[in-house]
Formats: sequence, C-alpha cells, structure tokens
Amino acid sequence: MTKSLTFVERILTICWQRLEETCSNDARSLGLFRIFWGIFVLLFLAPYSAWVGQVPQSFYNPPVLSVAFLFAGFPPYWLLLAGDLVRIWLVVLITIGVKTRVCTIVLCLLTFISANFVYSFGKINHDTLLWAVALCLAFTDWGVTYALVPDRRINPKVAARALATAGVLIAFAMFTAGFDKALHWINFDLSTSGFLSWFYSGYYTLDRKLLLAPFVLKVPPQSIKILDFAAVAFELSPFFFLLAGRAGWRAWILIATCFH
Amino acid sequence: MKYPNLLYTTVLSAFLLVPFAIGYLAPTLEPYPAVLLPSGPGRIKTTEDQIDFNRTAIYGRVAGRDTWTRLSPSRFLNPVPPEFFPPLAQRYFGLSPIEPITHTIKGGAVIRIDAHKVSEEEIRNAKQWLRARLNGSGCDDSVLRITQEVATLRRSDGAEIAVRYQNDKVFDLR
Repeated sequence: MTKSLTFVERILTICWQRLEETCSNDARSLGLFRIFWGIFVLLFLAPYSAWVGQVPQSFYNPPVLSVAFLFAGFPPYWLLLAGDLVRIWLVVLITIGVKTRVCTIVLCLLTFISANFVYSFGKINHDTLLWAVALCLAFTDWGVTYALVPDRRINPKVAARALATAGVLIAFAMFTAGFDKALHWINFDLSTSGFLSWFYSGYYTLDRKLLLAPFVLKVPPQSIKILDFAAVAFELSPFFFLLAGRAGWRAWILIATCFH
Repeated sequence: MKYPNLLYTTVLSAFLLVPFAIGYLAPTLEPYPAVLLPSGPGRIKTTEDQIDFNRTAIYGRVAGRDTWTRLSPSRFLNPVPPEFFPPLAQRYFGLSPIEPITHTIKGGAVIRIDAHKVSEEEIRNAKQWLRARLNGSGCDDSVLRITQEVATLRRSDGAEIAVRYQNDKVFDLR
C-alpha cells in the first residue's frame, strides 16, 4: 500500500510540476492582467442582482443542492442592492490594486451567494468558472505589481500551484462541455447534426444573427458534420494541451477565446 | 505531510467530479456553485427543410377582443432575463399548486424532494405583478395563457410554418 501511494505521489508530482511550468506567469504579467480583468468585469459583467428583489416570491425555485435552498424566498431588494454596490466597489479596488488578495476572495464569495439567488428561477447560468479562476488568482502575486496598496508577495510554490489549479479548472470546465456532446455527436450519420441543433436554436429563437451566422444557412448541412467532430475534439483536448507545454496551452486558449 | 500532491489532487478532484457526476446523472439536481459548462448535446435532422423547436409561450388576450397575442418573454418579464423564462413558465410562475419535485436519475432511481411552498399571499402578489405586465402590453389583465408548443420553422429562412399546442393552460388572474 505504501509503495503504491508513493508511486502515485511521484506521478502526481511530475504532473503538477508540468502544469506549473505550463501555467506560470510573473507578477508583472499578472498585475497587468488584473487591471484588464477588472476593467472587463466593470464594463461587461458589472455585478447587478438587485432586480431579483423586485420579482414575485412565487418565482422562487432555487437549485436543491445550493445554499439558496435553505432560504424561503428571494432576499429583499435593499440587501441585494447593498451586495451589488459592495461588489462593484471591490472590483474597483482590485483593478487599482488595493488589498487585492482579500478583495478578490470576498468578491468571489459574495458573487457565489448573490448569483445563487439570481439562479433561483429554475435555471443555472454557468459563470462559476470566471469566479473560480479569480479565486485561484487571489493566491498569486496578481496584486503585487501595478497596485496602489500592494499585497505581500506570496510563497512562490503557493502561487505556482494556484496558477496551475486555474489551468485545471479551465480544462475541466471545457471537458464537461464536451463530454455529453461526445456521447451524442460522434457518429457517421450525415442526416443529423449536433452543431446545427445548437446553431438553429440560437439563430431562430435567440436571434443570434450577427457576423458570419447567416452564411451557415448557405452551407450544405451534411458538410457541417465535420464540426461535430471538431467541437468534441476541441472540448475534450484541453488537458492534453495543458500537459503539452506553454506554447500548446496558449494556442488552445487563443482558439477557445476566438471561437467563443 | 507525506503525500501532499495526492491529498491536493484528491480534494480538487472531488470538488470537480462530484458536482459533474450529479449534474450528469440527475441534471435537475445540478449543484451551485460548480465548475461546469453547458453541453447542449442535442441533435437535429438535416435532411428535411423543416425543423421543430419545443418552446414555452405566453399569450395575452388583446384588450376588447377575443384573440390572443403572443408576448415577448424579454419584454414581458423584464428585468428577469429571457433565458429564465422557460423554467418559470413551465412552473406557471408559481400560480399552480407545486407538487413535490421528482428527479429521475440515469439508471432509473427516483428522488422526491419537497418544493418550496407558495403561500396565498405570494400567489396574490404574483397575480398583481402579472396583471401589471399584461396591462403594460395592452392586453386584458384578467387572463394569462401559457402553452407548451412545438413550432415548425422553415430552415432556409426561419419562417414559422406551423405550431402544435401540446399543453395549454389559461390562468384567471382576478
């Protein structure tokens, strides 16, 4: 038993060393990323959940396996508004680099709580990854450079592991998207298409008709079958690129970002 | 600590895999928060020029007339985002008595969970809220119709060819 555990520990040590090499970043880069991250969140994802306090309580249908299920209904408007204002302020502090580590942890925890109530209408939106990665970055030096009130430098081993964990979270999240697709989309039946099932739903019911979307209608459906395989391959491959090295992982991230 | 990486990997794996397994085996029990992304594994027939979409729709009765008009969920429910409309409408906005939730897990097991009870006052408030929305849409505020339907669209231009109503409920909001 001890021999087996020692063997497994050795394998995992090698894997984590590899992951840490792939995901490593210096404090300067992380500091710059922090600023862009904060500006992006303020412009496009500004915390706003107070509206939940203005809808009827009969709409309340929280996820069973969540903290919100312990509550009888939506919180009052004033409480949610206060939470929103606190979170916006925390994002500002993170962006300008004031006690970033503590602010990031508090922001992420408050976001999980308020989002739990936002997703208490019977549907969960999948934005947890954004905040889980931010929570990992709280344990790096992303609040050390380009910061008004810099954090103390953290133990480099902790920072390296945090960055590697962030990479694992991204890879795993994408894997979860590709897993079920792989079970249903991978076949040689040219009379069905998984990609078009996703595309038509967005095009006709959610009005997603921008940029190249109209051109998809002109392509013979059977030719699009290749995209079923491409999507599954892409979404199931991130762990491979994580272990392949920095260049491969960055290329995968770039493709994922451009595609989405 | 003797096996630090083993311990860390085990804890991290549990944190990631347990919610994933629950979400996969019993989608209605998906936990929050969880590191998951939507899969959308549906497929569609590509040999025909028509495609069918299941949708939940709400209708208001045009004020002063006996015809129904389909209401835009994003406008009617604002500020509730439109993606929350289908599960809300499937529960009839809490207006109907809510039975215990039954979750069927892949493999056949069934779990029953008591849903949150909606009080009479909450139903009254919901009706008042919906009546205000119907008024704002220029509709008769005493009735609201919720249907589960299958819309057939022509694939080439998205024109709606037919609608099949599978479940039709009219609520008296007085």
